[in-house]
Amino acid sequence: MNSTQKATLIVLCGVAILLFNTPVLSIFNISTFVGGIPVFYLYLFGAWLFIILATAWVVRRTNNEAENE
Amino acid sequence: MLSNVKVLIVDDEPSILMSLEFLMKKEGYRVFIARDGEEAFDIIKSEIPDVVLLDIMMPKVDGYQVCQFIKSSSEYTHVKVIFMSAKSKEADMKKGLELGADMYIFKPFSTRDLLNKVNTMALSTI
Amino acid sequence: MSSGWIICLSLVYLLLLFVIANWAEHRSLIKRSLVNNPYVYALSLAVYCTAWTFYGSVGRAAETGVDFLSVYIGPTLVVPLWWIVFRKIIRICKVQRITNIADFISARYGKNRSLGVIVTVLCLLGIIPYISIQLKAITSSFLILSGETTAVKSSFWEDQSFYIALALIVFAILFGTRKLEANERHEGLVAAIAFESLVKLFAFSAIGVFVTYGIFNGFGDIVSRASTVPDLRKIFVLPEAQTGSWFWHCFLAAIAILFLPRQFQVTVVENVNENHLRKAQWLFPLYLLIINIFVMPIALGGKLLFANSNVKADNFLLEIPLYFKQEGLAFLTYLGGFSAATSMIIVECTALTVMFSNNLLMPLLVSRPGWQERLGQSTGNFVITARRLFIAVIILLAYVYYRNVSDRYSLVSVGMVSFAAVAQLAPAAIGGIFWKRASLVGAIGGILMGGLMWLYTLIIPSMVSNGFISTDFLSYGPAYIHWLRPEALFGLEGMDNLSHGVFWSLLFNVSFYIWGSLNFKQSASEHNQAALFVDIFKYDTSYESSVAWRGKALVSDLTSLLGKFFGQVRSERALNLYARRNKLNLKTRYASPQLVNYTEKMLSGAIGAASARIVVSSVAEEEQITVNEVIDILKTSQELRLVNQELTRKSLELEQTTTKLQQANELLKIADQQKDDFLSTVTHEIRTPLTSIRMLSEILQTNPDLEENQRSHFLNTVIKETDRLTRLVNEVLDLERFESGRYLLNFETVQLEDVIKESLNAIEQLAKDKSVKIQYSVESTLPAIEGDRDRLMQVFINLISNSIKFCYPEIGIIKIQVSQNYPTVRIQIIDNGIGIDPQFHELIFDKFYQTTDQSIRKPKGSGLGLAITKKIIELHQGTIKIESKPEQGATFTFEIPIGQTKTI
Repeated sequence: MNSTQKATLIVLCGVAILLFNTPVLSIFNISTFVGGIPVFYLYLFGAWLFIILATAWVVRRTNNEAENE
Repeated sequence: MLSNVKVLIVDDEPSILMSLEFLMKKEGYRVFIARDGEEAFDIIKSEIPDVVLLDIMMPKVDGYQVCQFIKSSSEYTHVKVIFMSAKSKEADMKKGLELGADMYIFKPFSTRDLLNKVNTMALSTI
Repeated sequence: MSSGWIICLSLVYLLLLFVIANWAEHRSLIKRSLVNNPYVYALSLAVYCTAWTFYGSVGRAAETGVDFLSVYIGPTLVVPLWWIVFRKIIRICKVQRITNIADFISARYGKNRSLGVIVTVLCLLGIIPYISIQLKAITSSFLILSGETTAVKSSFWEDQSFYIALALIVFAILFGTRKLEANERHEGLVAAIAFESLVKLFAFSAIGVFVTYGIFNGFGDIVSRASTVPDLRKIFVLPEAQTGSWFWHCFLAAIAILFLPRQFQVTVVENVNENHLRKAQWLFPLYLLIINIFVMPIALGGKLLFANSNVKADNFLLEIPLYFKQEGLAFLTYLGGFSAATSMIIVECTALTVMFSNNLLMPLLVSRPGWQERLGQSTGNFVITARRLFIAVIILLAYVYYRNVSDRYSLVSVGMVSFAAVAQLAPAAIGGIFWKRASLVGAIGGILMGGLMWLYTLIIPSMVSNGFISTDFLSYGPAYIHWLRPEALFGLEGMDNLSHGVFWSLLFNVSFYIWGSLNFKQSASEHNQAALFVDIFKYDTSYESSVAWRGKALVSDLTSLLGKFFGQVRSERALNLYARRNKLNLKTRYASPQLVNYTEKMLSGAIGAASARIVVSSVAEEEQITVNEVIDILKTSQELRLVNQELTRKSLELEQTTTKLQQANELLKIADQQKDDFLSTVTHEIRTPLTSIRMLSEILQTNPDLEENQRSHFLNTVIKETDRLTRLVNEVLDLERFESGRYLLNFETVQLEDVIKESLNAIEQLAKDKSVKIQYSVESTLPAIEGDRDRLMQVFINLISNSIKFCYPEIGIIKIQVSQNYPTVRIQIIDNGIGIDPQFHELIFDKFYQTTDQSIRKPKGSGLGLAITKKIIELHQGTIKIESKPEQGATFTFEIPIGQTKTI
C-alpha cells in the first residue's frame, strides 16, 4: 500500500467520524419519511454503506508482497 | 594523330579544370570537360572519349562511379581511365585500380609526368 | 417445544460444530486449509456479534431506538485504519509469537510480569459479565422456547442455566485447549466460528423477513403503523439528549473491536495471511450492516404486536414466531442465538485461558524450580489441565454473576460495561506501536488508574442497585463527599452513566500514560521492545536471526527444558529443524545465542513471554545486555543486509563501469576515426589548391609566350589558390586552439551593434560582388555584453559570408536581427538563399561535414567556418542553431549570455 492509499484511509476514517457525529448527524435527525422509511435510518445505513464501499475501493488493489514501511 | 584522340577531363575544381584543359589542348588533343560525374556520363555517351582524366571526390556522382560505368560497358572497352586524386591513402588507390582504372596519380602532380603518361596511353589507343 | 427436544437438538448442533472443526483440522493437516481465505476470516471476525446482538439489539431498539446501531457503526468508523493498525499488530505478534492481548501489552513494555497480570485481571473482570449475558441469553431463550416461565430457581441444581453452564464448560474445554502451544492457530475453532456466523446471519434474516413481509407488508407498512403510536414515533430519531452517549458508544465499540480478547484472538492470533485483512476490512462491517437491517422492523413489529402484554423486548425474536405458532422458525431463531452465544464463549474462553496461563499460572510455576522438578516431564500436561480448570472457573464465575447481577440488567448495558473495561487497554496498546517513548510506568499507571475509575464509576453503581452497597453512596458520595459521587464525579452531571464512566476512566488513563511515559525512563529491555514494536516493518526480517539475548546455556539444558513443555520427541524435532535451517551445530556443548533465543521464543508461544524469559534464564547465565548492544545487534543484521545490498550495488556499478569503458573505447575509436578523417580531409583540402598552383606555375614556366591576359589570369588564379591555402592553414590552427582550450577569449565590454557594423564593412565587397542586400536591426535597449570583440566579428563574418554564398545573386536579402532575450542576447541571421535540408542541420557545424556525404554541394572555402563559429559561441557560453528548408532560406540563431563571467 502506498502512502497515498494510507492517507486516503486516514481521511476516510475522518469522514466517517464526521458523518456519524453531531453536527452532521443532527441534519438528518428529523422525523421525516422518504418512501415510508424514516430519513434518519436511510441516512445511517446509506452513510454506513458508503464508508464500507469506499474502504473496499481504496484497498482493492493493495499488494502486501514485498511491501514494508 | 593526337587530334583524333579525345580526352575527357572530369574535376569539380575550376582552376584544375582550367589548367588541364590548357595543357591537353596545347598537346593537340580534342578536349572535353565535365564539372561532375553526371556531366561526365553525358559526354562519355555522346563522344566516347579515348582517355578520361578523373577526379574522385566530386558532388553528385563521384569518380569511382564514373570509372565503374566505363569499365562495365563493352562499348567503352578501349577507354583508358586515369584517376587523379588528392586522396593519398593506399586503400583509395587500391579501390580505384580494382574498379579497372588504368592509372592512379596523386595530386599534386608534375605536368610533364602527367603529359607523358597521357601520351603513352593515347598512342596505345591509336 | 419440549425441553428434551431442545436439549437434544442443541447437542446435535454442537456435534455438528465438532465435525466441522475436525474436518477443518484434517484439511489443515493435509495442507489444504479451509480457513486460509479472506471470507472465512471475515466471517470469523463476526464473533463480535454475540447473543447481545442477536436478542439485545432488538430490545435496545424497542426501548431507545436508533441508539443500538452505535455498537456496529463504531467499528465501521475505524475500519479504514485496520490496514494500518491491525497489520502492524499482526506482524508484531507473528514475529514475537505473541498470542493474546495481555502478552502483547506486557511484551511491549519490556516483558513485564506485573503489567501482564494487571491486564489479565482487568480483562477477566471486564469479560466475565459479558460471558454471563451469553448464559442469560441461552437460558432465557431456552425457557421461552420450552414454554417454562421462571428463570432463576432458588437452588442451582434445579436451575437449567447451571446445566447449560456445565455443558458450555465441557464444550469450551474440548474446543479451546487441545494443544499446548497456544500460538498455533486453531483452524478447527475458526472454521466452527465462521460457520456459526453464517447460522446467525441466516436465522436473523429469516425471522426478519418473516416479521417484515410475513406478518406486515414490508418496511413501509410497519413504519406507517408505528408512526401512529406516539410512543414509537420517538424511536425514529435520536433524542437530542442521547447524541452525547451516541458518540461515546461509537467510540467504545471502535476500541472494543480492536482489544476485546476474542476479537484479538480471531483477528490477530488466528490470522493466516495479512492480506486477508484487506477483504475482511470491508466484508466484516458489511456483515454488521446486513445483520442490523431487520432489527428495527422486528422491534417495531414486536411493540405493535405485544402492545398490551408485558413481553420483554429482548425476547421479541422468539416470542413473535411462537405467537404465530411457527415452531420451526422459533427454533431456528433459538439456534441463531445459541450460535452467537456459544461462538463468543468458546473464543473468549480460549483467549482468556491463554492470558491466564501465560501471565498468572506460568510465571508462578516457573519461578519455583521445585515445582518444576516435581512435575518433570508432565509439565506440559499440567499446563493443559490448569487451563481446562480455568475455563471451568471462568464460566462458573459468569454463572454466579448471572445469578446475582446481570439478570437485573438488559443485555446491552452489561455488554457496554465490558467494552469500557477493555477500552482501558487502548492507550497502552495503540501508544505502544506508534510511540517509542511510551514507558512501563506510563502503561501501568494508565491502565491501573483507568481500571480503578472504571470500577468506581461503572461497577459500584451496579452493586448499589443490587443492594450490596447503600444507595447513599450514590446519592451523596462516599462519606458524604459530594464531588465523589460515582455517577457524577467531580460534579460532572448530565451525562448518562456509561458515557460518564468512559470519559473519566479514559481521561485518567491517558493522562497517567502520557505523564508516566514522559517522566520515567525506559529500562534496557523496554527500550529494545519499543524499537521492535514501533519499527516492526524495519526489523521483522532481521529479528528472527538477531539475538536480543546473550546467554550461555548448555544445549542439553535447552533440550530438556523444551521437552518438559512439548515432549521429548517434538522438541528435538523442532530444534533439529531450526538448527538445519540456520546452519547451527547442536553437537556443541554450549548453545549458540541464536538457539537460546529460539528456545525462548518457542516457549513464549506456550507459556507467555514473561515466563519464557524466566524459564530460560534458569538454565542460562545471562550476561546483561545493554540497550546499545541490542541496537548494535539489530543494526548489525541491518548492516549486513545493507552490506549485501551494497555489494550487489557495487557489482552492478562495476558492470556499468565496464559498459561505460566500452562505450568510452568506442568513442575513442570514433574520435580516432574522426581525427583520421580530419587529417585526410585537411590534406585533401591542401592538395587541391597545391595542384592548381603547381600546374599553373609549370605552365607559366614552360610557356613563356603566353598571351598577356591569359598569363595574368593564370597568375591571379595562383594568388587566389595561395590565399585559399593560407586561410585554410589559419583556420585549422584556430580550430585546434579553440578545441584544445588553449585559446583564451579576450573579454571586454562589447556593443554588438559596433561589431556588426565592422563585420559588414569587412564583408561589403563580397556582398556587392553578388548584389546581395544586407539589413540589420538592433534593439535600442540592448545591453552591452562581455565578449571577445575579434572573435565575435569572426562569427559575424563567417555567418554572413556563409549566407551570401548560398544566396541567389541580385535577389538575395540577408537580415540581421539582434534582440534581448534575458538572460541572453539573441542574434538571428536570416537569408533567402537555397537553404539546407534538415537532415544536414546537425552536420553543418562539423568540421568538413561534406566529407560524410558527397552529394552535398561543397561550400567554397575550407568547410571549417561553421565549426569555428560554433566553437567561438560555445566559448562565450552561448548556443547556435539553424532553421532551414531547401529553397526556403536559412536562419542561423545564436544566443550569448549578457552577464558573461570573465574567467573562462
